[in-house]
This record gives sequence, structure tokens and C-alpha cells, in this order.
Amino acid sequence: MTTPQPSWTFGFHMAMELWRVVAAVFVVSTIVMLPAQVVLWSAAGEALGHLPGDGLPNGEILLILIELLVPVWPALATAVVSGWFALWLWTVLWHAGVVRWLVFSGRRGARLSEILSRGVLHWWRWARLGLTSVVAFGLGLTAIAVVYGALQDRVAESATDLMFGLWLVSAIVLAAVVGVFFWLAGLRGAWLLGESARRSVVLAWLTGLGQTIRQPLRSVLTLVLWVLPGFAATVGPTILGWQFEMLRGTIPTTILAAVGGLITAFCLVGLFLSFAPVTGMVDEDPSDEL
Amino acid sequence: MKTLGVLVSLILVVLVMPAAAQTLDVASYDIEVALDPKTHELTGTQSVRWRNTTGVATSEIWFHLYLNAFASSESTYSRELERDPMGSWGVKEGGWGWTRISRLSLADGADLLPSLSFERPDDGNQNDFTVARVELPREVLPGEAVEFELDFEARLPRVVARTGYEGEFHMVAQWFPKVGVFEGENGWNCHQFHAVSEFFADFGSYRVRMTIPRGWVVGATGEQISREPVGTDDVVEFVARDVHDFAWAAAPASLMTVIETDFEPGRDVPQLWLERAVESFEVGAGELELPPMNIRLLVPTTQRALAPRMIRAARLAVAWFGLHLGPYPYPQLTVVSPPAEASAADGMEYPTLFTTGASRLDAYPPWSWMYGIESVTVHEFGHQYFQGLLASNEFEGAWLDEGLTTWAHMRCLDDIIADKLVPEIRFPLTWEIGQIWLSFVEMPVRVDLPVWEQRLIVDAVMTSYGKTALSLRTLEGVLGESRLLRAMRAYVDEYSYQHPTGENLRSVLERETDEELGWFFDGVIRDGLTPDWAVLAVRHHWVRPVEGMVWRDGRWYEADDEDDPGLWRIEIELGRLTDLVGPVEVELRWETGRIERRTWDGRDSWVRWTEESPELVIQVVVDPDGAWALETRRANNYWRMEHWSRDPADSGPLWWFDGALRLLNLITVPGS
Repeated sequence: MTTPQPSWTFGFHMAMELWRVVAAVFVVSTIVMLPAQVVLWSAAGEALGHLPGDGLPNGEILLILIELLVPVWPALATAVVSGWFALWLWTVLWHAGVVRWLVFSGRRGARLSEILSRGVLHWWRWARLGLTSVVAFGLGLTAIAVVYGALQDRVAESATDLMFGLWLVSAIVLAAVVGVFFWLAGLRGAWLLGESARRSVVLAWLTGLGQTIRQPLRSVLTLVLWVLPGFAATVGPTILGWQFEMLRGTIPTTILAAVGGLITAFCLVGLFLSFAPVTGMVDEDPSDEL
Repeated sequence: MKTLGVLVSLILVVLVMPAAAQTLDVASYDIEVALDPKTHELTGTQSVRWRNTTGVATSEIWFHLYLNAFASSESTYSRELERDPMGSWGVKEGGWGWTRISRLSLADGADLLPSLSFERPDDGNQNDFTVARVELPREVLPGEAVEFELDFEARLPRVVARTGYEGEFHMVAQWFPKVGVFEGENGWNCHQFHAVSEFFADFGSYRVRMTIPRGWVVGATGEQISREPVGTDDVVEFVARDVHDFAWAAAPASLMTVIETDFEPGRDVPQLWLERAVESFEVGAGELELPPMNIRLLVPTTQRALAPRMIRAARLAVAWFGLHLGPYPYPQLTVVSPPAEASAADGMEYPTLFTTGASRLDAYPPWSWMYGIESVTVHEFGHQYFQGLLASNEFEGAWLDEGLTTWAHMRCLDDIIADKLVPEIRFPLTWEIGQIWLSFVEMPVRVDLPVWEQRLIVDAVMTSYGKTALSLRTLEGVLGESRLLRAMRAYVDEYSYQHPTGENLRSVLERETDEELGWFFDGVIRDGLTPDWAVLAVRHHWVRPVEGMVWRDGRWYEADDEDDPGLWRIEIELGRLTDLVGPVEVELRWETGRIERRTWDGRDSWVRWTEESPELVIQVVVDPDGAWALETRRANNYWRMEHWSRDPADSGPLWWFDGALRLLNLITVPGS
């Protein structure tokens, strides 16, 4: 029996169809940043407003930021972490809702309220899957750190410089592979969890990992095709500002950042939906194959 | 054969004697020592010739027995660390170290051992055995010398506080009974070994013959003049003159590699640095000529790839310090990079020898982008001046060696980075690290306290190193770079081979700069003050043009714009928020783009400048060049008329904050 494969084009078409979800992902990801921004600007806005527009030495900027932000760091950290947590809750919500909607509604009536209401009903099940991913990733990285840490002195004493360098690179590559594979396992697991007969979230995640290992190239390629543009859309406006000082904080850059946020949201939704075909239960047009 | 060897040694001692400005042969040692690599014990015989150079007679000699600091959990060293733990500074389990004098007699055979007692001048801790005293049968009169001999045994600790063994690597430092410093009417200056403090000793000559296992590599203070196989061991002899300490390192050749190289001024002095120094000191290049010297590097075989970087750093340090503070006067420099497991021996200075520090990871990005190797190497070389040549009392005034060295090493590091002499370095921040550290200090910390009188060890470290360096950076900013460099060079020149104090430094700096530096030495160094300047307010009032008639040439005329176009009355209020008084630059930027610099003497706690001008002041910056490097609260130094020129969407220096938050938000996605 062949394992169904993820499909980038399916994800693209579905993300277009679920534009309301894309918009909601964009809006929520913007809203969760607000508390951190409020803390920052209320603590430092006045002082920062008096700094020269033509720049300061890097070290002085750092010193001033420390001066202004250290007193408010508990509030700032709380705001950032709360934002992350809220975003995680939300991502689990729309993941659950989209899976339940796509698997059980036959793609009818892609209304945001229906998707979200399905997500609320099954939120905890998908949340446990998310936690499984996080724990598995933590365990994977810990295992790598422990093994490499235990071997480091021995390798450092005996290896040639070339081998030692390769050994270090191997640790980084291994950590990256674990990260990517565990992420893919989570994406597949989220869809496999939609199968009515499936009970265990851990088994769903493990099955997702097994499928990823059986289809590594296809899985990674799908991920890369969504993540690269999403990442570029996220960092693009910041890189532009970094390269061209005149663009910093201008209205066109703000608009560009908003468009970038929308593209990122589209990519995140498209990425998730690209893995819908792995359940074998989604009605997929064969012409959509990558 | 042995007699001939001694004769050859003595001849070589004379031949290798550096062309020192002044030779003070106060405490000279002739030591024979054997290292047992299995028990890590030393067995030694030492003869000491001590000369009373003061105007007061003494009938006692005080010794440091530094290794006893590591003898128990009750030594002053251990107790201070127990009260204020500092990571791995404590003695490692099972790694106690100690020393004991088993015979002590005058050259004429008079036994001194019965009169030996232990002293605890700093804290009265009866369990501390780091200072000993012996009574002499007769006084040593001013100008007289006394010679005595002793046998000692010592066990090295597992590497702690930059001395000891780890595996087969041995860093043998503070290992022999060492005479304190006699200060005439003030008696003997011989402090106990404290958790942070370092050392203080008189200059003299050293001849040390060490017995080490056959084939082991060795590096030591001074120059190696012979190596002979004796039985299953090697006997290696080193001599050093005009130094105040002797340290050595030994390890199997399989563990450590020796690289013999040199400093060749024609090759190793960057032309740019020479040109700048010529300009700073207003002398010809010939007057800044540096002598060549030998460099011996002991590096772990696993860190061999880093050796070129260490050597390059050492050469650059020799060049920078030589050009700016005067030539390094010894013909030999030995650099030891301890193995990773002995990193507690990293970063320590001894005359003509220092330990640097590296990890094998430093060969690989991103570690290779940092300047750790350069920083430690340059800093420890810097101590060849501020400790090696200017042997100030490190117990009582650590800032005079650590602080001055840190200032100079940061200056050198700045030049290395700015001139891209180590292209691997990509981390640009230097002084800023110290400023950030200082910015977290909540209460004033005095610089000129004995380190054990500081409330916390971290305060002692911060004041001795970073705060003093930033203080000098401030002085440099206020006086000007060339003036301070010239004054420092004069200080080095005048006090080499002596024990300069803070007062000596002050007198040289005031004389050379022709400035009264009370604000610096009293305010910053003694009272621990730090500056905080501020723009308190900037106000613009529109003075309307005259309305009505204007009296001109004996007649009334209708007033128009040419008579009085109107003016802005501008009030600029500046504040000095601390008690540190000093002059500070203020930069005013006017509406038309004109930039004006003024100096405020800072004597009053605030000042109001009132101007009348047709143009607005759009920006005011106090200390625009960051000359007051000690100032860590900089946000209030700036005022700008933000709403006039700034786009409302501009977030200033945090323009990237939203982008960073969006990027951070992506972290949650894989976990969902």
C-alpha cells in the first residue's frame, strides 16, 4: 500500500479557498504583538523619540535600550511570552477546525465561524498533539546535546581539525534534521488525527513521523516551498530597512510589512493544507499533484 | 661539569640582561626544584638574597606561602569564596594544594626555622597559612643584604586560581616561598592570599633549575639556557633578571606543542600604527623603533590550528604596547595556552610569561568571529607593563594593574578591529560591553579599595577591570587621546621597575597634561562617582516682530519685516545629575543644518543657555562623542524636536522591533 503524499498545489488552492482563515491568521498574529508594543512604547517611546534620526553607534543604541527596557523587562517578557502562547492556542484552534471541516464537511461552506466552532470543539485533542511535538522536539535536542556533550572531550582530544570541524557540523545538521522531521511529523499527525478511528495523539504523531521518514524528499520539499516564501515575507521588510536606512519606519515599509504578514499567513495556511492529502480521506483532484 | 654549567649560566645571565632603565636587585632567588608528575608534588631547595633598600632596619623576614590558600576549606581564600561563590573558582574536590618549609637557615648555617610563625595581617583567620614570618638573629641595616637558604615541599592543587595541575598539564605558579615587600617604617607588606587579589613583590634575579620528566615541554619566566638529561629526567635551567616573580608550565610533548617564533619589528609592526604613533608622540619613526624578541608558545596539540592566531595576537600586542608605552625590555616572551580541561589556568600574567586561553571551538564560526583569543592575549601581554614593569601593589590597588591594563588592551583591541588586522573578528563591540556591565551596578563602587574590602567579589572584579578602564577612557575622552597616551608613556618610563601608587600616577598625569585632575582621581577613582548628563528642557518662544512704528534716523517709520523679522527666544537647560564635576561638550543642531559645539564646565548642577535666533534648535546632544565613557545613562543626553522632522511611523532605533516580533511569532508554528 502506498502512503498518500502531501501536495503543494492542493495546499495552494485550499488556502485560496480558505481566504477567511488566512485573513484571520494574519489579524490574530498582528493582535498578539500589541501588548509587547504597548509595553515598549509606553516605557521607551518618549526617550526614543528624542534620539537622532541619523543613527547612533551600535553600542550606544544597545546601552540606551538596556537603560530603558531593563526596568520593564518583566512586563515586556510577559507580553511577548503571552503573545506566543496566544498564538499557539490560536494555531491549534484553526488547525483543528480546518481538519475537522475538510475531513467531515466535504469542503462545503468554508465559513470562518464554522471552521472555528469545529476547532473549539476539538481543540484539546489537537493541543495534545502540539504538546507532543514540543516535547518530542525537546527530547530530540536534549539527546543530541547529551550525546555530543559526552563525546566532545574525547573527540576534541583525538580528532584531526578536519574531523573535529565535521563533527561540529554534523551536530548542527542533526539538530536541524530533527527539527524539520519533527515539525513534519506534527503536520502529518494533525491530519491523521482527523481519522475517525484514531484515538491516540502520540500514535498519530509517530505515524506522521514514520510517513515523513518514508517520504523525506517530498515532505521536506513541500515544507521548503511554503516556508521559504513565508520566511522571506516576514523578514523582507526588516531586511529592506536594514539595507536602506531611508525606508525605516516609512509608510510604504509599514504597508509592505502588512503585505508580508498576509503572505506569511497564506503560506502557513497553505503549508498546513498541503498535508491534508496524507489522510487519504480528502477529495483531491489528481491534476493538483506537484 | 655542574660548576661549568653554573659558570656558563652566570655569563648568560649577564649577556641576556635587558637594557633596563633601572635595576633593582632586591629579592633574588636561586632555586632547584623537582616535579613529581604522579603526585604533583614539588621538592625544592632555594637560596634567597634579600636587600634592605629602605632607610629602616629590620630583624624579621615575611614570606608568602601562596599555595596554602588551597590547603583547606578554612583558608581565607576558601572562606571568601564560600561567602560569595564565583563559579569554578573554588578548590576542586580532592585537589587541595599546600606548601611547607622544612629547613630554613642563614647562609652561615644559623637555623631560622624555630622562629617561623604564621601571620594573618588581613583578617586574623587562624586557619590561614599563606603568610609566614621568621626572626633574624640580627638586624638587616639599610643597604645591607641577607642571604638564607630553605628547603620546601609543595603539592600543587588541581588547577585553581591560575595554578596547579590537571591531568599531566602543570601550571606551576605562586609555588615557592616568596619574600614580601619591606616598606621601611610601614613594616612588611605581605598580605594573605585572597579570593580575588593578586600579588606584590620586589624585583630581583632568578635562576631556576627544574627537574621534569624526560621529553616534557616547558615554558617559564626568563630564558632557557640549558637542558640536560639526568637519569630518567631532564634538568632545565632558566634565568631571568629584573623580574619580580617566576612561573613555569610543563606537560608531556603529546599533550602540548612548543612553537618557537619571534617578533620582528619590520614585519610585525603595522605601518598604520607606526604612522599614528609618530603623529601622536610628535617624534620621528626612529625614536619608536622596537627591538626584536623571541616568542615561545606552548599550545595544546588539539589547539594547534589556533596557534597562528595566538602568535599574531601576541605580535600585535608587542607592537601596540611598544609603540605607545615603550619597548618591551626583555628578549623573551613565553605564552602558554592551557588545555581546555585546565581552563582555570587561562588568562594570567607573570613576568615574561603569560597564559592565554582558547577552546578548540574558537577555530570555527561563529566562535572564530569573536575576539576572545586576541582579548586575553593582548590583556595578559599588557600586564608585562602594568604589573611586570610597573609592579604596583595588586593587593591594595588592583586597579593600577588590572584597570590600566584593561584600558590599554581595549585600546589595542579597538585598533586591531578598526584596522582589520584580524579579519576573522566580526564582533565589533568593545568598550560597550564594559558600559553595559557597569549599567547594571546600582550603587556606587569605589575603585581604590583593597579587593577584599569590596562588598562582593563581582564588585572587586568590575571595579578593578572594567570601571577603571572606562574611567581612563573617560579621561582620554576629556583630555584627548594623544595627551593621555603621552602621559601614560611618561608614567611607564618613570616608574618602570618600581612600585608606583595611585598618587604617582596622578602626579605624572597632572604634570604631563598640565591639568588639575581632582575630578578624576578624587571623584571617579576615590569616591566612585559616575557621570549622568541630561538635557533637562529646550523651549522655544516666538518673539513677535515689532508692531507699529520704528524710530530710525530721527523719524518714525512703519515697522516692516526688514526692521524686525521676529526671533525665537530659545532656552536650553542642561543638568548634571550626579556629583561628578567636569567639562562636557554640547552639540546644538540648528534648523538650517548648522552644527555648533560648545563646552559646559559642569560646575553648577544645571545651566540655562538663552539664545535669540531666527532659526530653531532642532537637536541638542550632551557629550555627542561619548567622551564620558563612564556614563551609562545616555538616553537623557538627547533632545530633538521630534515632531518636526520625523515620520510618525518611524520607530527610531527600534524600527526593527515589529519585524523581530513577527519572526519570533513563527517559532510557535512548528509546535502547533
